[in-house]
Amino acid sequence: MEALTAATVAVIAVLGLAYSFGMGRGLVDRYEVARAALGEAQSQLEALTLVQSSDPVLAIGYVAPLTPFRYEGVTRGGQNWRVVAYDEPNLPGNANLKRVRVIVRWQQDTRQDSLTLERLWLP
Amino acid sequence: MVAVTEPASRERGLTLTEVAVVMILGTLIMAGLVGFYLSSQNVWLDSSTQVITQREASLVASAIRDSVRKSGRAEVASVPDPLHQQLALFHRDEPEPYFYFWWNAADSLIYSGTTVGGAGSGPMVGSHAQRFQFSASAVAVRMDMRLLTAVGDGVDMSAYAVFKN
Repeated sequence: MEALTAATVAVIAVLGLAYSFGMGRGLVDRYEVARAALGEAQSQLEALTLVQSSDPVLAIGYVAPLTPFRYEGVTRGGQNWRVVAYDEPNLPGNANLKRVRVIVRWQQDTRQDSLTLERLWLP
Repeated sequence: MVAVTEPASRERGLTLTEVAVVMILGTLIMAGLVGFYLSSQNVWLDSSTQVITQREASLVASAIRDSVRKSGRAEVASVPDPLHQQLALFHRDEPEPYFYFWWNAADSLIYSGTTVGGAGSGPMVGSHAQRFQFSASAVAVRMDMRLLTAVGDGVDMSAYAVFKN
């Protein structure tokens, strides 16, 4: 009886440990793609700094078409940006800044993930 | 004379067959558990090395992004080969580069410094790079690289930065 109890406890402990390792591995894989998505969003925002603020792609209300988000040669999802008005209370007027919001969406296994990065622009 | 024998209910101990069965079962269970544990430990090891390499890739990308922003222009050289390139960063209107990023063929590490291989230069991270490539335009630099974890898995990272100086 004692041997059976000990074996059961050992099996549960090892299964629990293995499950936690597996979960950890899954999270590492998930954040690997998330890290790449963050790099994609940062690159997109950086590229938009080259565009004149008066350009239509930085006009308030603009929604960019979806472009593919690729990682390790595989298309994981898509990314786009949108421009919304932003009211900074310490500046005169209302809607005195533009908020550019880059959104990267991707699918990993059955999980849908997304990441949003924002930067304020002078109009 | 009458032979006196102990009743069966008072016999104690285990038969050889019982001991053998218990030992075989115990061995099978222990072998399964140890194998399971070892494979789980390998998963943990892979995860840990991958996390370290991911952090290092982010660090390299961030350092290159910051340096490019501080620069006015850049030149890319396929040294030692097109898969492993060298980036030279210049201040605007200055003929000589003030900073370099390059891949060292001797140890497959990514280096940075004010001179290639001179004093003040050294490896940026401990992960080996399988690919380290740049493309530079008049206004920006794009970097693509693949670092290898300690167990040989690849971690891709890219960065795009605009000259601000």
